This record gives sequence, C-alpha cells and structure tokens, in this order.
Amino acid sequence: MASLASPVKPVVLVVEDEPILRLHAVDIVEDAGYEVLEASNADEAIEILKARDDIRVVFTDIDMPGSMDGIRLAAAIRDRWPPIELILTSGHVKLGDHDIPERGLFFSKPYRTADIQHAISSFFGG
Amino acid sequence: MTQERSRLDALVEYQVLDTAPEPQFDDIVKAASLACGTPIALISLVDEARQWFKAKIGFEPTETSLSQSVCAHAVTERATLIIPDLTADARTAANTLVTAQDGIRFYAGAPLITEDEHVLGTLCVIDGSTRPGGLTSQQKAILELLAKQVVQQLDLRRELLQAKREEARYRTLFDALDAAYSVIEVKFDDSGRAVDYRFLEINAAFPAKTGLDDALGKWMRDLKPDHEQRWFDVYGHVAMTGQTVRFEEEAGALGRWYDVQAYRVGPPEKHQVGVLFRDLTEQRRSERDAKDSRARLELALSAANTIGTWSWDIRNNNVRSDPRFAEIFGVEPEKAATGVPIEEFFEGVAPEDRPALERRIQDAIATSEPFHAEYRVRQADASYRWIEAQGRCTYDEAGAPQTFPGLGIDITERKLELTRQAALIELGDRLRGMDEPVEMARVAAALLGETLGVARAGQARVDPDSETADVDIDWNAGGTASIVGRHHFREFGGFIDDLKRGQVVVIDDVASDHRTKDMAKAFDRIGTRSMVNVPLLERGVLRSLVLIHDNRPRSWSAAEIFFIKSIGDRTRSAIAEARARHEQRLLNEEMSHRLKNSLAMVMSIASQTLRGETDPSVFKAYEQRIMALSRAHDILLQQQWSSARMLTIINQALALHAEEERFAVSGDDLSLGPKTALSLALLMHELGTNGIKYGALSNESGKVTVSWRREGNGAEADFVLEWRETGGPTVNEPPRRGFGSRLIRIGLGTGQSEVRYEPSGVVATFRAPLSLVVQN
Repeated sequence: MASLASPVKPVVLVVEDEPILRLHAVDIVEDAGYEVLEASNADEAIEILKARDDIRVVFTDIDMPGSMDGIRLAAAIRDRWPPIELILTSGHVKLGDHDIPERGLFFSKPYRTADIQHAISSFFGG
Repeated sequence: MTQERSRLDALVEYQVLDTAPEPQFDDIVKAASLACGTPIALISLVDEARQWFKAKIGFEPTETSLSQSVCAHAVTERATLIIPDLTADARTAANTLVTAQDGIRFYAGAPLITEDEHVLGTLCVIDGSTRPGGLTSQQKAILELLAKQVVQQLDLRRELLQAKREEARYRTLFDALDAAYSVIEVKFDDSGRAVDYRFLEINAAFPAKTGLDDALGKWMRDLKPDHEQRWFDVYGHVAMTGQTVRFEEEAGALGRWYDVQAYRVGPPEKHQVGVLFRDLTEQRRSERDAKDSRARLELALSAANTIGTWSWDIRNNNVRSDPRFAEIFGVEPEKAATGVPIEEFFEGVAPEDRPALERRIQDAIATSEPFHAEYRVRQADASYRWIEAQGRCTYDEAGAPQTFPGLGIDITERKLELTRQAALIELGDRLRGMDEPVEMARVAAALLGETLGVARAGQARVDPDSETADVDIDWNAGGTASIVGRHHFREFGGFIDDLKRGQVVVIDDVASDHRTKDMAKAFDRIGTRSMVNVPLLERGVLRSLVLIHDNRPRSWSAAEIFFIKSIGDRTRSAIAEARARHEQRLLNEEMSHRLKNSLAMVMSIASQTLRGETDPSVFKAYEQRIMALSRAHDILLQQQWSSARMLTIINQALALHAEEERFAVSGDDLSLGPKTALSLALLMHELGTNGIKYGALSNESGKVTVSWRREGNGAEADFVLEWRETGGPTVNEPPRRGFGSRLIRIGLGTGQSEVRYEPSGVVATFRAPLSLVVQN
C-alpha cells in the first residue's frame, strides 16, 4: 500500500507510432499528474511491460505497423497482465464490439484532452 | 365523347386489331363451332368502318365492310342475337353476304362485353342453311360463356402486353449500368458526307463492351479501317440534324451486335454525338438457340387442346366432359364420355384448392350467379396445371338445380408467366439495399428454385482449365441435398464444351441426352434428372454459371430459360453495383481515417506550439472546434459524404455542451448538403460555447430553443434557423469580436445572420436559400 507521506504517481504507458501524436498524448497524461512511459510500437511496449511491474494503464493507438497492432497488444495485455487498464484510440470511427477488450475504453481520433484525463482518473476511482 | 367513340378507343387499347392468329382464340371459335354445330364461327371485332376477325373457322376473309356485318347489329343490341333466317329479317335481307349465291342463312352472335360495358364485337356462329329452331338453351349458354372467355383472354392479353412493356423499361434502366457510352466528334468531307469520327469521351464499360482498348482521342478509321460506312452515316445524320436515333445493328468490324442510342450533344457546329451501346451479341446468339425450342413449344401449345367443356347432371351427379378436359383431371376419357360422379374430377384438384372450388360451385347453385374459379390440378408427373373454369347452373320449372354446363381453359402458361414476372420484381426489391454478394446470390437462388418449382438452384464459379465448378451456394427443395463444393464437369458428361462456347445447356432428361446419358449414375447420386446451366463468359472465357436441377425429367420452356437468364443477369448487375458501393465505402472510410489522423496531428502541433505561450483556455477552445468539425465528418461519413440529417448534426453538436433537457429542438428533419452540415456543426458549437460562458447555459436553469422552418415557396424558399436562449443571466453585446463571434456571423456559410442581445437572452437568427442548404 502506498504511503500517504510519499505519494507514488501511477504509471501510464503511452503507445503511439507517430512521434507528434505521441508528444501530445504524453503531455495529456503528464498534465493530469501521472508518470509516463513511452513506446513507439507494440513490441517495444511488451518489452517495457515485461521489465516493469508498476504500470497501471496502457493508452495505445490501434493502427500501428510492426508485428502487432493495438488490438492485438491489448489482447496480449489482457491475457498476460490482467489488472492493467486499457485505453484505445484510432482514426477509424467505429470498432466492432469484439475488438475492444474487457474493461477497455475507446476514443476516436482526434480526442479531447479532458476525455482522456477523465478516462484515466476513472480507473483510480476518480 | 360519344359512346361510339369511347367504344372504339377501348377497342384500340386492346392492341389486338390486325394481329396474327393466336391459339387461345382459335380454340374458342373451334369450341363454338363444335358446340353449335355450325361450319362457321368467328370472333368479330367491330371497328370504325369494318369488322375484323381475330379468329375464324370456315370463313375466308379476314375482315368485311360494316354494311356486310351482322355482328354490328348484335353490338347495337348489346345482347345475344339469333336470326334463324337471314333472308327473312329486315336488318339482313339486303346484306350482300346473304344475297350472294350460297349466301349465309343462319346467324347467332354473343356480344363481347368488357368490364367497362363496351361491346367490342361478337363471338358468332354462322350456317349456310336456315335453322328455324335457332340454338338450344345449352348451345346459347355455351356461346355466351365462350364470349365471356374471349373478353377475358383479351384482358389477359392486354395485361401481359402492359407487363412486358414495364419489364422492358425496367430492363433498359438496369442494363444501362454496364452499357458502353462515348461522346464522338464526327468529321465530314467537302460533300457533307461523314467520313470518320473521333472518341472524345468514353466510360469505364466502353473498352470491354466494344473491344476497343485505348480508344480515347483516336479516330475510328485508324482503329478499325473496315468499320462499315453506315455507322458513319448514322452518326453524321444525328450530328447534322440533331435527331435522336435508336437502332439495333451489327458492327462487323467489331464482331458484335449493338442496341445503339445516339443523340447530339453540345452546339450543332461542334458535330458531337453521344452514343450509348448495349451489347446484344450474347442475346442474339441465345435468341437463335431459343428459336428451335420455342418453335417446338408453340407447336405443342397449339396441338394441345387447351379448352374443354363439361356438363354436370346435378340430380344424377353425373359429369360428362370431352376427352381433353377429362385427361387433365386424370379421368379416363371413355368414362367421361358417358359420365362420372363429380367427385372423380375433384380427385385431381390440388387439395389446398379443393375447399374453395367446392364452395364456389355450391354458391353458384344457390344463387344462380355465374360460376368462375381458378385452381390447380395435379398431373401424373406430379406437376400442376392451372385451370380456369366457368359455368352457370340451370334450373327446372320448379326451381330445382338441373344441369351445370361450363368450360375450362388451361391457363398454366399465363399463370407461370405472371409468377415469373412477379419474381423478377421481387428480386429487384429484395436485392436493393443488400450488400453481401453471397446473401444476394442466395436470395436469387431461392427465388429461382421456388418460382420454377425445381429441386435445386445455385451458382458456381468455373475454372475452365481444370474443368471444375465450385458451387458456392445452392437452394434446395425439401429432400434434396446440397451440392456445395467442387465438382468435375467430365464426371457428368460432355456439356462443358457447350458452356465454354457460351451456350445455355438445357437437358430435359440426363438419361437420354447424348451429352449426359453415359453419366446418368453421377446425376443420380446428386438427385438430378434434368437441368439447365446458364454460363457467364468474361472476355470470352467461361467464369461462372447459374445451375438449375430437377429430380424428374422436365421439358424446359423457352420462357423458363429466359427467366433463368434474367434472374442471373439482374443478380450479377446488382452484385456488381453492391461491390462498387462497398469499395466506395472502404475508400471513404480510409479517407476519413487519414483525415482524422491529420486532425489529431494538427491538434498535437497546436498544443505543442501554444504550450506555455498562452492561457490554456486558448488551446481548449481550439481543441473544441476541431472536435466539432471531426464529429460532423463522422456523421457525413455515415451517409458516404452525400448528406447528413439536420437533427443528427444538431443533437450531436449540442450533446458536447450540456444535458439534453437544457435544449428544446424543433423542426422537420432535413437532409443537408456536406458543406452546410460542417458549417452548422461549427455554428452550433460556437453558440453552445458562448451559452456556457456567458448565456443561458452558464447557470443551472437556463434553456435554449433551437428551431428551424421554411419560409416562402419553390425556388425562392428560405431556410431560417433560430437559436433562442431564456432563463440565463442578463447578456450584453461583447465589446470585442473574437473568432467565435465571426464564426457565428458566417452562420450557415451562405445567406444572412443576426444576433440580438434581448433582455431574456441571446436570440440568433440565420437565413439562407433552402436550395443551397439541402442536399442536392
């Protein structure tokens, strides 16, 4: 249990292949008071997840090059790190229901700063 | 209009005058002549200055003058006219047909009365000897029934013509989808003769339909030096006169037949002609193929005695009928000649039709009204024939039912034709709005199978090299197994050679057809005894086919083959159209995806640019506007960027700002054009933002009414939109005009806008020409 005297910031992993969009996403998460880790593709994200055990939320783009897209990354996380919360985003308007993992949230691009911040805080009972 | 005029108009409407003989009418005069025992029987239609005979027996001329017409008197009388001795009747004694040597002596004619009470002519019987007794009451009853039958046949014939015309119209539209189109410029020599033409525009289907690749900008003489001169003449004529022409013609140099429509486009001095081609090559070929079988069919039809008469002695329950009527019901002709109980005839009637038939007979006996019924009769080969029966009960002096004479006609072909036409229309209705090719093919197969009453209908892809067919879908009647999967043609005989040549394969019995008889066992395994395969060739190569199988030998009619091809053609067109729609949707979605990614980038760049430089509220306002735009794009995408619903745009935009109960939205839902939709979304966003900052949405209780209406009519009509706030704090006109208020002033992107700061709250009114606002 985190001590009240030394509050530990929850850690959020941002996965986005487009650097300019990643910058913005990182700002949004940081401005809301969380610690941010960055990955530019799913494989990198998996490596980080394997190395750290304090990641609480993964905020990932869906349409990414590489061996896995965001949907498959999310499925892998749900499978291997069930407690981690998931936020997905894409330029596609709609996703099939089966594409969104359990407890996952989806925001169409462009997203509002406030919507992402509310989504993260909702995972922490805020 | 005089009564005679409207009678003549009605006659013209039947489009029957001067047409060729038709078996159903020939059979009626035959029946009349037999029933009345006269050498002559005629269906006489009384025209303006002549009587013309649709059907005749024992009489040479096809028409006579009115002065020679006895029927004209029956037409005036509007009732059955019987003249036992024409020499003794004042109306006919001077008639040259009567006064001639061996002239006519006896006449009986029943008027042909239409539903609109017009008398078109008569069904009459004529004899060379006088007949003092006239007709017996039974002969008269039969003559009158047959006359009614004539009118019904005329009605049916007219309906069928009408249906065919509609069918043709529908077809033209549909086929136009993949017709070739070009705009050409015609070149004339000094003598004014068209000598060449050049392609200025061609459509996508053009190369495939004409075999002319890369024709754009080229001269026809260069492409095809031996293209016939008559083509240049026709287009030259159209370019010179501006006359629109339509014709069917063979282009020898292209090896094809076309249905061509050509009309002048642009100013006359440009010599430009628009040409629409429909490729008839395939149709011409299959018409040739169908001709043989059609001739066979017609022979069969005219030989078959389609009409039969009966007479029921009610008291003794004894029905006597002529052999052809008995045969249809499965009653032995010898027994029918002496009479059998009516129940033996009922045996053959389809069980589901029997109760209604019996009820109608009872009703006719009880009421003395004419009897009329249509029902199905089961045949030995398990097929059904449709019978139309008519009759009337007669009574003795005490009023007890005595005899019930009548006649039946085989209307199977007509019923089937109507069913097939209904199926074609149903196909169009059901395929419209469908997207899935497999589902569409399934609908078509089910319609084919059910309408034709066969065991199996399906569709297969063909690989001509390996000579295999992949049956993708099939519809099967109860008890028939599906044959979905891969099949080798050679295991079923040699008919693939015909398919490869584009010929429809029609096999009445696989056990006797030379192409399949050695492989009858293979057909037996899939429960098939007769079949039709309609091939589809793409650029001369066999690609797919429509298959129809039945589990019994069957003589396929030309009309059935035509129906199968029609269903196949239409389904293919509809699937091609659905595919094109699907591709367009994917393309739109991809474009939208990129657009939205770009918007996200723009937002990110703006955020980085403004970060730390300005008040965070500046970025927030910017972000909100981009969001409003992006949502409007989503709505437009749902309609493929063609239009957006007014209510959807308003509700979506307002939902970003406050709870639903703060808004009252009223107005008829309109379909907006894409530009207006984007402007409206931004406008609603700015008004909402201001409302939250300063206006009625800044407190807990204020409300906003959004309403719109049409003002004026026709081309002058305006669209008026009003945003009215109430219950908010007092508002004042802001001193500074920011981007937001400028967006509001732009309004709907066209027309005027006005914002008033009333004591009750902001009232903003926007006005624009309705024609610019709604989707074009």
